[in-house]
Amino acid sequence: MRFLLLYSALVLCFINLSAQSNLSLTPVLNADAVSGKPACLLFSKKGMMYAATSNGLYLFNGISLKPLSHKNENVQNVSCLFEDRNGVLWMGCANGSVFLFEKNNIQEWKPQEGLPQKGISSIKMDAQGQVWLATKGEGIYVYSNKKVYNINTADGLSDDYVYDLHVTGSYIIAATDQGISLCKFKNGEKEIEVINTTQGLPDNIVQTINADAKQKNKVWLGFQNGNAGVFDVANHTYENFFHATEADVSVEQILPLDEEVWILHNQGIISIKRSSSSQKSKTSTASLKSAVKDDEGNIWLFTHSGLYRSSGEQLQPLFSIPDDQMNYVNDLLPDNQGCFWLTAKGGLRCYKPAGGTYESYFVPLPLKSKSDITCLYLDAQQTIWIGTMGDGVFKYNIKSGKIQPLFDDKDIHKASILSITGNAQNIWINSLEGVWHYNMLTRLYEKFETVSITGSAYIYYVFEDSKGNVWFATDGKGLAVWRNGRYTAYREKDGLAAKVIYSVAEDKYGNIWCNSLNNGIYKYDGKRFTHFGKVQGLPDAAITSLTTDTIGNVICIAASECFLINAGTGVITPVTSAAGAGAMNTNLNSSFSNGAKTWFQAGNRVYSFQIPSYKRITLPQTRIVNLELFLSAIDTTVKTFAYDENNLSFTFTGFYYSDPSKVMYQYKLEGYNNEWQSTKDGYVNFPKLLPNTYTFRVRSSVNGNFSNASEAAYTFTIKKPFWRTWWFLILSITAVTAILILIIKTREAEVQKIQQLKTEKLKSQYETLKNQVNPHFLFNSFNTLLNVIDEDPKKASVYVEHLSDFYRSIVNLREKDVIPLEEELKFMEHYFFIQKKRFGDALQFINGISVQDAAAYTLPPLTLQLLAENAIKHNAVSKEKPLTLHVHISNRYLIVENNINPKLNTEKGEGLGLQNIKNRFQLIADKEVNIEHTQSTFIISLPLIKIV
Amino acid sequence: MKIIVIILSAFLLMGTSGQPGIYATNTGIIHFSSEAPMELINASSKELKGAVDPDKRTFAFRVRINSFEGFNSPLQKEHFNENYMETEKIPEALFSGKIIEDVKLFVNGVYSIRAKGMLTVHGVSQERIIKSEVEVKNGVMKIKSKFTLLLSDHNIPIPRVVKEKLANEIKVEITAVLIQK
Repeated sequence: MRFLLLYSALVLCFINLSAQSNLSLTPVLNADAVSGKPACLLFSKKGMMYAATSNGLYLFNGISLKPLSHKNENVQNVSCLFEDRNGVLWMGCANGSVFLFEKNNIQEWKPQEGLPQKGISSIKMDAQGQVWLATKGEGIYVYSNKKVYNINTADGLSDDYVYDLHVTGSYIIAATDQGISLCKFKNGEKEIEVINTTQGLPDNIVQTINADAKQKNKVWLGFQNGNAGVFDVANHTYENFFHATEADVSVEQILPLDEEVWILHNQGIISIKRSSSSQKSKTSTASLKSAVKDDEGNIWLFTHSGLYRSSGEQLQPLFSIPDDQMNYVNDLLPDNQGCFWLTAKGGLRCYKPAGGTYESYFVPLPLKSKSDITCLYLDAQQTIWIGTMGDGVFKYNIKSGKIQPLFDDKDIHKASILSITGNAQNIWINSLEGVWHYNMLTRLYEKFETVSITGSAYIYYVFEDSKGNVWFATDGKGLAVWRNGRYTAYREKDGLAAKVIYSVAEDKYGNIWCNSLNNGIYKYDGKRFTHFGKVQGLPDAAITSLTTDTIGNVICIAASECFLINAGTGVITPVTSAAGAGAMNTNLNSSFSNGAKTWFQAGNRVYSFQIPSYKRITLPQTRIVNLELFLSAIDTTVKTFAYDENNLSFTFTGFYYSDPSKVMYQYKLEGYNNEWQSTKDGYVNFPKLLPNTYTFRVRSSVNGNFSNASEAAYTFTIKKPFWRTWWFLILSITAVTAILILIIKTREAEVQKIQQLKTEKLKSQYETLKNQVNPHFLFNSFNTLLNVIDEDPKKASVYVEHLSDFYRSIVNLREKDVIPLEEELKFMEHYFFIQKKRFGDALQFINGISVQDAAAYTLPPLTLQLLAENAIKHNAVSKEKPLTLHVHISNRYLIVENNINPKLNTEKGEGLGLQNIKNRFQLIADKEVNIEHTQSTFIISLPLIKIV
Repeated sequence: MKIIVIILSAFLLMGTSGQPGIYATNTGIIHFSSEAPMELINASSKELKGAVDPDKRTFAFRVRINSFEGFNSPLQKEHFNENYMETEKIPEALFSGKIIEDVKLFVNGVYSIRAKGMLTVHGVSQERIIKSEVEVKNGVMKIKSKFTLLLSDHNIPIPRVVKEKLANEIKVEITAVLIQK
């Protein structure tokens, strides 16, 4: 009876949700921000997006378009972009010209065969490195081995108007106005096979060919008559997939994703699920020009009204919940038929997919009181266990529609249920009145004792992990686990600094994750707890639910957004909040994950979240975009600068297309300041850098956590000015030292010389003195005087005058260093007068020096006198053997010659006199005295000093 | 091939009944040069025969190899003919094909066109696209064209001993005045 009532009470109301577009696009750049008419987009392998318009080529950094081809005015109306395997960007234009962009330079491609005259629709490179260019009216050009060849209808091409090209392993597929042509070009040989409507294509005008990562040997073809389908490359068969129902729809491009295929046509976009081509969602856009997928999982659309972004398959809003029911949604549950069950007021609401939208119907529950329905659980028999606050648990069999309350334990039927979880063997029912455990095999219930560990604290969640341990998330008593029949509680002393835990989940590695009230997330690996909070990059500390997927991510849904933690690396990445700005307003534990996909309710919408297989980037990619020296750009290959090239500026970008406004940077210039500086600008300038070797490092992040950030670096050196270089300094020091030593040594030498001169002078004085005090000379002189007095008294007085002059001269001259030659000669006159009186004609003095010469030279005093004395001393002077002393000047040398008359008894001389002369001349004239001793003559050459 | 036969045989019949409108010449000038590190070789022929059909936009040119004069020595000319070009076996070089641009060559004007066809030298054919400047005035067509020819493409090997005296890349220049029949 009750069941009949229930059946009749089942009001099936179909509410057609308004046909709003499920494909949400976020406008990123509006038409004003785009210079020229949008033409095409390209996402390069290095992670940067390029956009081409009628005005040229631009780099899109996530926020604005930066012009790249403004210096080259010929780059206009770019109609296609292609990145070859060497990283060179090919640009084909509507007028047939081709440009190449490489390393920040644009060059025109000028083959000697000339350029096409018709627009270029597509450029591709095959495995052999040949470049294929498709034109609109001249067929296909192949650039191979530096020569350009042409394939057109005369060679068998289906038509000269080619829309698109696609490279497969064996040939190139060309989409033309008359079907597709499978082309091969090798060594000048062309092989073409045509496939058109006669072979099964729905239309001959094929406008696009797109590869499919999920079906490697098939390609998608889009037709002008609104069809789209799959062409098998191996056996040349075609299977249609989509056929537009509206009129005048022509397919421009196809983007195959993981689970959906996006068909972009001239009036909008249709996204169709691969598994069931009936499930579609669509949106209208103004003349779409180009669409690309980036590596972050976003889809970008370039249309006449600007640049749009969609998070594609990553985060998709599925359906909306009417406002009046929003507050009653406490849990959601997808079943195996693609329907979603949400808790509602007084029952459940099922949202069923129907033709692109969702229809909902209501299933009421026989509640005794106006209890809230709090949680849902689907068991293996397609039965939903429904928990209520005050009415216990109901079981609802989806297939039969039977609703049955759980009366097995009389305590349950009035219980307030907080959570129901389980697996194939066990179901855990957690309520304010206690925890029940239901064994699926024995179908027995038993109350589970928890008071010993939790006391009177509420338990928010009960979770059984893969090892059979049961975890309890409590309100106030932290986390507890029941293991091998025993409880263990984890509190602050174990590393869990949170007392209130909301839920527990297990990741693919077996770690246990739990989220807490305003304390972030904790991971327990079996030994210790690791905390993830704001410092690690958790954007919001209030996390409302936690689920895991089979790839190894922990999906955290917070009040304002959702993000992932990679269970292996601990890296936190935000998920694009393409759902729309503002708080998502998620509910506690209202999410569900089946390991691959996660569904959650936020605000008045239910979203599905999954990580697409083509998502390769989760963090911003840091690149140094521009390097400037004194405000003019230079290439980063320059690594050395002169000492005055010391003002450098860096422009850098962390390319993160999903949310570029969140990107922040840290940089440091090693060698200048080794600490990381934070900035939100992408620009830093270093003026007046000192000579040194520096490394500039910059890294970017979106959540403040830079531990895994991508880093860009640039090392350079500013050379010291040459006067600061080590070799110069050493040279200078050596030179200065050498000069100093030289000065000191010279001074020393000078001093020594003066000293020596003094010594020699003293010696000579001494010698002269000795000679003059020589009694022999005086004795002889007086003897001679006696004779002269007797002879002639007048002559005697002359004789005495000469004698006195002689001695006076000695007194005057002996102290001088040098005297003029004429004085020395005058002195000699006196001397010889005296000696001649004694020896008579036996002594001869020949003066061969002219008056001018005598006036021109100087020499040490008393030199000649000493030599004359020596000559007289060592030679016999007699009438039979006369002694002749001859002086003359030759080559600035004073030559003193005398003939040798050996004496019978030689007077001993010590030779000191000659040595003294030698020394003095060495010191004064710095030249040597030459002595020549022949058999008959004794010649001595004295170097003279010229009067300056 | 058929096109060449029709045009040229029509012309060879002393021009008695050529197809109306075809431009033709027997005295076009073709000049080539080889710039090698040790030697510069230049030679030309004034006997380039050619015909262009302005309606169908097709063309055919031929030249006898032994009509080239101007080598650095008679011995060089002999080597050219006997050893390299094997003129006794292959007396002519040919180029014939179609003009890519949709130009109206029967109308006076100056056109920059690309000729796509088969260039046969030393018996080896290569598909080439050759850019040319064409000036049409009152039934007279002046063609000027420059292109490069690789000896290796046409099976003409360069012996090691003359590696520095003969370049693989030969520069060819054509100047021809064709009269409309």
